[in-house]
Amino acid sequence: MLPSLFFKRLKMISLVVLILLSAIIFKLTYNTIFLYEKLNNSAQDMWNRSFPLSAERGKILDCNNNILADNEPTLSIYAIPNQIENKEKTARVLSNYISMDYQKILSLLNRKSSSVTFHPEGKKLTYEVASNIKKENLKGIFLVQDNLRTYPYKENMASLLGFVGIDNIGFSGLESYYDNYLRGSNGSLSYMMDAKGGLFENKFYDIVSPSSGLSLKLTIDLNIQNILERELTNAYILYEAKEAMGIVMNPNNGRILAIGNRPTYDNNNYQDYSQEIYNRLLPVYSSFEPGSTFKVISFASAINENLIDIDNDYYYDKGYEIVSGRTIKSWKKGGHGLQTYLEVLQNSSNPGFVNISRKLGTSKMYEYVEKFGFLEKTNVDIQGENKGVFFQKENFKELECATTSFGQGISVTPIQLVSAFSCCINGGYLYTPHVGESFITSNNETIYKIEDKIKRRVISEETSKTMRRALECVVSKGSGRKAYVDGLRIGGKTGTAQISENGVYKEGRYILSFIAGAPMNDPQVVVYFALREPINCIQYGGTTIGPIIKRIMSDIFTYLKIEKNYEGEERTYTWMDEKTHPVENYIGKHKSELKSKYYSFVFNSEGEYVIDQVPRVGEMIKEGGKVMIQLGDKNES
Amino acid sequence: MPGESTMEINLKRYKIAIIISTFLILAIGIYMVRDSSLIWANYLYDDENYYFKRQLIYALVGIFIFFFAAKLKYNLLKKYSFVFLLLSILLLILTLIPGIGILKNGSRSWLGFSFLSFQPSEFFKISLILFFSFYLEKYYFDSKRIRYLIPLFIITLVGFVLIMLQPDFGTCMVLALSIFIIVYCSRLKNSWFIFFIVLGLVGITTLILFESYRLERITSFLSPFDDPLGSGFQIIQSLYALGPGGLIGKNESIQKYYYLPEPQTDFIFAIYIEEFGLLGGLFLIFLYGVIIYCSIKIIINSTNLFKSFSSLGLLSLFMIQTIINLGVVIGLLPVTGITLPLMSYGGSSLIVVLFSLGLIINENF
Repeated sequence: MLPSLFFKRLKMISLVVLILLSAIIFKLTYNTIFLYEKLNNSAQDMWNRSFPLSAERGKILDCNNNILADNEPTLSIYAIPNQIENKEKTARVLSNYISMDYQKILSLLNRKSSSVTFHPEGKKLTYEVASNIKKENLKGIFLVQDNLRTYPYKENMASLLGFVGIDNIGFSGLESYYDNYLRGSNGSLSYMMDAKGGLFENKFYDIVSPSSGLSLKLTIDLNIQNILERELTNAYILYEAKEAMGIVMNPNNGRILAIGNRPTYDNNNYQDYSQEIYNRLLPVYSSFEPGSTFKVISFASAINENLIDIDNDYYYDKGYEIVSGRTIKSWKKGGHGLQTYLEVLQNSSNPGFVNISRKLGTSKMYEYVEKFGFLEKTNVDIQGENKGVFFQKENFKELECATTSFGQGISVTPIQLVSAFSCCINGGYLYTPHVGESFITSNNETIYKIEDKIKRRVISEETSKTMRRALECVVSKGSGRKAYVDGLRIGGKTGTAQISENGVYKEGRYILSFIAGAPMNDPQVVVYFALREPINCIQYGGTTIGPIIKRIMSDIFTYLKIEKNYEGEERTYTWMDEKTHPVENYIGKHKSELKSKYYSFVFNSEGEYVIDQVPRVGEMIKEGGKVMIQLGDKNES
Repeated sequence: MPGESTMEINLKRYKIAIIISTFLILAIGIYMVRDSSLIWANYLYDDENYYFKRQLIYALVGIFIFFFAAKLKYNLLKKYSFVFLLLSILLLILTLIPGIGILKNGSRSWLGFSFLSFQPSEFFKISLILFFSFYLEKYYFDSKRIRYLIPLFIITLVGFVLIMLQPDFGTCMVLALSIFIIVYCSRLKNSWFIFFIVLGLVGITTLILFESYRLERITSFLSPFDDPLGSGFQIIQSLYALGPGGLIGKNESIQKYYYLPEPQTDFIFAIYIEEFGLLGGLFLIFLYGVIIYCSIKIIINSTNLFKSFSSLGLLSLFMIQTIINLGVVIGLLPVTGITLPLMSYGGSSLIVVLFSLGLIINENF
């Protein structure tokens, strides 16, 4: 028999072996069961060589489905270094087709990674270049579908739309703001490969299809945008302005119909421009002293508080007011004399507004500035919005209140001003402006609508009605006369702000602006236009921007087929203005009845009675003009 | 006596269990050698059965050797144990001579030519075990004192020096642990084994510090993902075979597609798990367990002390290699280069293992 010590020690050894085998079983179970997920995923990553299939980015459309940002199919090169037999030769051939030099390509091909890309020169190649590369039949070189973003309107709307980087990720503008929706998700084509880069039979591959991004439909109307772009270009060139900017918005819902600025850039070639140009959509980015356009706000506030009756309360403008020891002068020497408050607005009298600010008092003034949204961003869905600069409440004293009332010493963004102005004329509602309208799937289904949002009610319907009449008077009788068009019933306010640097106003450097809405019986559009430091023109908002507003409004009216209305505030004339008169109806009348003190008649053909006339009834004719009359027999008509 | 006959029946059962388990593992092993190596074989030799054919021949020879070992007169081994030992030391010396010894994978550990080459260190393992058994049986009652064991240590030292000159660290380690086990079963005092353990640890540490690649293997074992393409490579590739195997394995191994170098040798168990999963692995470990368990039973029931010592030594070689190989593959131990007995590709190892197992079931004294 076995000696007992041998037996005892053998049992000890058996125990140790049992423990070791148990440990092995435990670790094996741990690896195959508990680490299964982790190890299997890592192993799959090692086995699979995947090529990205880039998702088609959602398009950007205007409100009439015109395409503003599109995709052009292209191809990008991928290489699997393991599969390349002759790296030098492959690099040399590739260098003939893409603008990357031989050495750089070779170093990429010599990388110890499973696949390499040629960034950015080997990406987004045209089909022509790609098919040439394909013909070379290079082993280990693959061409993978990609998309190139294109912007058919180039400089127009460039700052609004922005652009995407080489990986189709939004970099600026709406492309960046709505990137998550537009981007979609990239798919992949993965092949399982052995460690020498060889392919398995077909069973080992996997396609994850890319899913296209959502298309973004905008509230922008390309036709209106084109009108604005045309005026921006013209004014920018003609007046050699440093900047030009404009907004067209529907005041009843905050939808932006057009927005733009100069200088601009071509977003198809954004690399050629500086960041300052392509990252700034000026109407939301820049803030500056609004000048007289801000009087609209203080005027509306005073009316809403029942502090002034614009027709029956008077103010005597002696040419200046003294506030906290500082003299505030009227732009007209000696002042405008005795005026109603409506005339104070029409004449843009600063001392008159000082008086309004006194009536309002600092706390009410501050409250309205806040309610009209000047202390916050409008939250418009555009990248890079600023909120302007306003006084802290504790620093807002009598002098600050006075200068605020006529728009000095503060700074606001055009989009803030447009929102507040819209609020004044739309019945008193402050809307959140927006350019996004809805998201559309690749099957043309609208899956999400961006709703119009009312922030708050600021003034009463009654106040708003009064404001519409007052603003119409500014255009028909006051400082905005240059924007007057018969029947359009434009109401607005001009602004001329001196540019200050470090608190010192610069002589001869102005921002000229004009904000207007129309028609004042039922406002459909608000237009804002501004020029920074224009030259070759009269440095006065009304004179220089007035005609631009007039053209923009006229073209929008024609395009939107807004009915003209001639019941508005009648125009008052200065000696410079040409008078126009509506033509009466003469059809059916005898030719002896035709009489007018404003215009003469030209008769055509034979007959006693009028059967037709040009211009037609209600249309305007210049004083001293001619009305063409077609004559015929009475029974003919 | 009825008691004696039941014991004999039991012993017979243990032997049959060992034979069945051995042949099952051998069959699985031959299948796995072909399966895991065919991609590499095709790539290297344009013949996907290159390793399979060879392994098949080794196995046939091995089976013959197994039964030969099971039937031969056991006392002859005792009688000639010293001659075998001298012969094997001579072969080890020959191996070291350039021109005679064959260099493979950086070690000069082979003798012979091409197909008929073998590793003398494998022969040395067995002859050393046999000599130890002979010696310990002879001096069993004196083995309490260390001085009676000194000749054994001297011979061992000579063998180790010769093997380390090849160099073959793995074989030395397996052999050292095996003779530790049989010496432990002598009458030597417990306190000496604590000394041996300390000595072993100091020796291993010295060897590790002496050769930087061993240190690298240790560090890469501790954190293989630090240098996935360098020294941690094999460990990671092994884990990437095991993990995806899951519970029941997958249809086809992917790791054998060049990811795991030489998948038919040290890491054959990883490919096996990849294809047969945890359940397959437990089955295989069970078979090894049966061989170990039944061998221990045979050792306990043996009436011949030389047989007990030698069987224990041979079993120790077998199970230490098994445990170390499995430990490496599953990431419990650093990479050592020790193959899995009965499974891994390789003639010398397979034949020696089958010879050992044959001796364990031998009852012909």
